[in-house]
Amino acid sequence: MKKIFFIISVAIGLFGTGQVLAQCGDELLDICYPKIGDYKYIKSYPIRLKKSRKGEPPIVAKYAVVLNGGVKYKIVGCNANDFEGKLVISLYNGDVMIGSTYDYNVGKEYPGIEFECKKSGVYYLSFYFRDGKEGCAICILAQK
Amino acid sequence: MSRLKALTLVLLAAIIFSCNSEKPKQNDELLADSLINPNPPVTEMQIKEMITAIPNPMEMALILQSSGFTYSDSFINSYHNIKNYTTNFQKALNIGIYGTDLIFMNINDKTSSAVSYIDNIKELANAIKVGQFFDHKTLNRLNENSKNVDSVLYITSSGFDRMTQYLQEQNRNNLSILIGVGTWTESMYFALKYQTAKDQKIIIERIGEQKVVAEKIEYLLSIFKNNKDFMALHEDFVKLKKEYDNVKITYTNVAPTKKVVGGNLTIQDNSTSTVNISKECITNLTKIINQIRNKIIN
Repeated sequence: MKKIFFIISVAIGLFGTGQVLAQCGDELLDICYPKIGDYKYIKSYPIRLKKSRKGEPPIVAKYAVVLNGGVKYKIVGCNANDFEGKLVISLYNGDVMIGSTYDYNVGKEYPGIEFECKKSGVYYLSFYFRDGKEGCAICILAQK
Repeated sequence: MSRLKALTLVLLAAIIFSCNSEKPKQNDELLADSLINPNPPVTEMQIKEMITAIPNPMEMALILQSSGFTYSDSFINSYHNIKNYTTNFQKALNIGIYGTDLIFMNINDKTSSAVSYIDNIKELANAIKVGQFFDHKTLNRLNENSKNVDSVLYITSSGFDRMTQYLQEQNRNNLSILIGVGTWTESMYFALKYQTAKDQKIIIERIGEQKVVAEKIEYLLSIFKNNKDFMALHEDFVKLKKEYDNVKITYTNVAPTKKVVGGNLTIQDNSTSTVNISKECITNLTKIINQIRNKIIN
């Protein structure tokens, strides 16, 4: 019987994680807002990801975003202090990455991306935490 | 056999606890209003990803403003119409309509009626249990920042973001989609009044580029079309999508140029897109959008 309760606990842990991932980013948004400077707020993406399993790549969240030609965009991110994870934001045109806030080749981190868009269409924003650590962050998309 | 029983018990417990964690009691009350999720064929995450692609009305409002668009109070939905919205389906759609009107009012410095619109949004949001995003604290912040248009727009837009994100976390994507449909329809309704603008070419292009959004919305609505209200709205978006098939968008893909400016990574796009849209198509789009909007607001 003890075994059954143990298995039930594990199962609840596995299936019931949705609630743990909720409610993140509300205060962070107001803290992060000044980072867009003279750009205008368009949208925010609260990112809450668990630690990835040992030896596996970081967990990634990806969102479609429609960007317009002739518009300059700024994409910034802010991390919650309570978590180790540092957010990496990448912008994709289809499968092609056109920019990222972290350059692995040189180990350089950028506070944000400014993108002068000329081709209107669907782009993708992808998010993960460096080294697959658990993290809580907010990303803001702003435009001029 | 006892192992099988134990496994069955485990799975049953897991399913019960899992369902309870994702569907709080308040959802059940809302579902009574014929907004039942008919087991969509795509995952909640996939729906969420598509909803985020629906543009914020700020984007269209900024383009219209920079094109010399002349705003008129006659364009917005009357705040008296709130009495017509009795179902959660209508309430969610009109949160999007009124929210977009509020943004257009603010961006055009027409703030005299803004309070009535905020009240309406709050009332409708309360009805679908998301009124906390337009609470007294938010309203005070709006009053304190009333002379700073950027702050007002941020507080309004971020309030909407928080509300839709909350609905998605609660697996109430159907309501989240409807708010997005409301905001997009109202933004398009404004854009199709482009004749008042000095630079009409950019607005017409933007209307054409909304083809990708119209396709996404049509798909999102199709997920819930087992519900009769969703089905009717979906049929209207099928018509809209069919008309958008006449819009041709051509792309050229060229690698971007990157440099670091002030610490930020600056990317210069070298790709282009060209929109080909006829006058006849714009006329037809205008008719369809007007029909959809009339059904939503009346």
